[in-house]
Amino acid sequence: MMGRGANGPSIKRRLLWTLLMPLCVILMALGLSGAWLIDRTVENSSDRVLSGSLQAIGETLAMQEGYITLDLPPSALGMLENVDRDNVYYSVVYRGKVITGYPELTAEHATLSLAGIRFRDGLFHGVPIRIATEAKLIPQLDAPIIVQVAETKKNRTALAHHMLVSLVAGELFLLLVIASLIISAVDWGLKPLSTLRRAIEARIAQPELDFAPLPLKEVPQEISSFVSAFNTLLKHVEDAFQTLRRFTSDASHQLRAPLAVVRTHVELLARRSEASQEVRGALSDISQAVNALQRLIVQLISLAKAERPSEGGPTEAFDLVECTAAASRAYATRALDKGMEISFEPDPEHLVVNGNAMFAGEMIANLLDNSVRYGLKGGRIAIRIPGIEGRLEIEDDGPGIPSDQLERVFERFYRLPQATEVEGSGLGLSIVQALGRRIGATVRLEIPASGRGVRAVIQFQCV
Amino acid sequence: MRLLIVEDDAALARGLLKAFRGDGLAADHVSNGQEALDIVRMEPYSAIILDLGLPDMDGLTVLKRMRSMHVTTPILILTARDATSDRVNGLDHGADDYLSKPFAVEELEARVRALIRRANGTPDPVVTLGLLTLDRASGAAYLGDQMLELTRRERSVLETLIARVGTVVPKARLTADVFDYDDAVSPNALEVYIGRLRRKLEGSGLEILTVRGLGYVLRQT
Repeated sequence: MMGRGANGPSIKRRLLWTLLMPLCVILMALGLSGAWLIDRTVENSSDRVLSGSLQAIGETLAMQEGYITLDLPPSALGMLENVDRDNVYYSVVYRGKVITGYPELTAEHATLSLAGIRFRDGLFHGVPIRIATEAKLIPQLDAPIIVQVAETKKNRTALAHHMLVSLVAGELFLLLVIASLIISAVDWGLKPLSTLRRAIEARIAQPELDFAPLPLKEVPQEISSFVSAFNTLLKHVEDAFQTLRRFTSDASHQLRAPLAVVRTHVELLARRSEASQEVRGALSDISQAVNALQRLIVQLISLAKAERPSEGGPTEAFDLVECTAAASRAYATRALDKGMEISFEPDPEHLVVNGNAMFAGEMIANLLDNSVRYGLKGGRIAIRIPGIEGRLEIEDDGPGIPSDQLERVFERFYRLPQATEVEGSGLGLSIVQALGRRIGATVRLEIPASGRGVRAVIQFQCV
Repeated sequence: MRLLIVEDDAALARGLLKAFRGDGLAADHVSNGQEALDIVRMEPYSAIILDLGLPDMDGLTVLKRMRSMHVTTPILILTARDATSDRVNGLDHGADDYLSKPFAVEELEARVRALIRRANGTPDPVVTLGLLTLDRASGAAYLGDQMLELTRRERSVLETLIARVGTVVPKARLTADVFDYDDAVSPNALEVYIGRLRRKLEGSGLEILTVRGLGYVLRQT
């Protein structure tokens, strides 16, 4: 998984941040103004009831026979009853003297104008109350009568609280809904990016490098310029890659002509009988070096060919038993020359697998070449096809490969330190692996149960 | 016997000329395609070695022109390329053999000799290998100067092995050569003939080895 968990800025985070932060601020402002509005509304409506009560009392004030009379109707205070059981207090005062009601309410009357009802907050024995005050003029009296009605604020607080809770709950719900909508919209909007990433990752997983441009069709407009820039880069990389491969192949081909000259003349010189011992020795050294060089060139060309998808035949079904037998026969002579015993033990008589017979033959030849080259004189090589699962084993009892080197030997030009006196190019296993990739076969090396030698296992694709 | 070498690499050409002249062949050298086309008109060559990478024209073009001029001389192609398509192309356009650079001089000489022999008619029927001499025409076999008694089937096995001396001959191939369709062949029937041949070839400098699962090989010890 590439690039995930990297520390760069996240588009998703950025989008969420820029969308959700203003939303939160808006909701907060909405909440604050809502709270203020609730406060106002509750106070206004409650005050209106209070003033109704006050007016009902005020209506009944009269002068009768020199006395101030007041008929306190039960409805006047009854309208203030509520579920919260607020206490109700009242007082009627004339010239600072309480005519009736709670004297504690008189404490706070200031200079009252005669203009309507005034409301104020106060305390009654330490409990907050709301007081409505009205100055009423009655004929025959020189001073106004002050009427006051008050109630405790339990009901208003409860009402405001209730409304506030509803408001906050509503806002939170709204926030949740919008946030989840935004998150899924952002996810959905960014989906083409992850589709693109998966398409690229799928290519990385492929054995064969794929330089084909990414399809622009399904890519959204916003990133299509990015993708086409990427495609251009891909093309450049492919060109460079192909140039490199072609160079290896071309250079190897170019080396063959001069090598042919050297080889021809060395062989002709070696035929001359009058040559001294010294000259013969030198010629033999040159001849060996030329052979090694030639082998290296041939291997380089094979590797370049194996890695070039255009070369070679198509994938087709072939008989693995027959193909292995043919490749093994060609190497049997070399094994016999070295005094080695070689055997082919196929379990099935025929086994059809997928791939390409020419590539498979070349893979087997390279593995056998290793077995013969590094094997011991008088050693043995066993070629087996156990069962019908498309597995081929080539096992020798040579010096073997340390277990920590079993993977490394597939690297180009890598040779075991203890094997350097044997002439070899270090390319054989790279070729085997590259050819295997082309036909969907895997190669691995393992140490046989006996602990001696090495066993190469090729797993072909069954039909 | 006269040989034409068409090769633009002067150093290689010098070497080849030396090699073939050493073998007692008359050999000429030209270094481009046009000269080659001019000279084959005038001289009757026994074989032509043609390099595909020529400076003035493609070797395959030279090959095609020669064939269209009804030059029937056997032609061996030399090339620094070894792509299968090149080889097939060359053989399709009338080449008789193909060798890629670099090659062993001995192999080139052997192939040229074979081409000339083939063009001249039947190959020599008498084969000598170690102490063994086999006349494929008469069927007579000798170990040194001793006549070697062989049954028809033993001789048939031996001939097949000799024809491919040094290489592993599949069991199926030998069986097919030795037994007719109507012979009831038991799995180890061939083994019996191989066993007899081994005894008869003792001390001949030849041995027949069994390569398990692959076949038999005749080798000089």
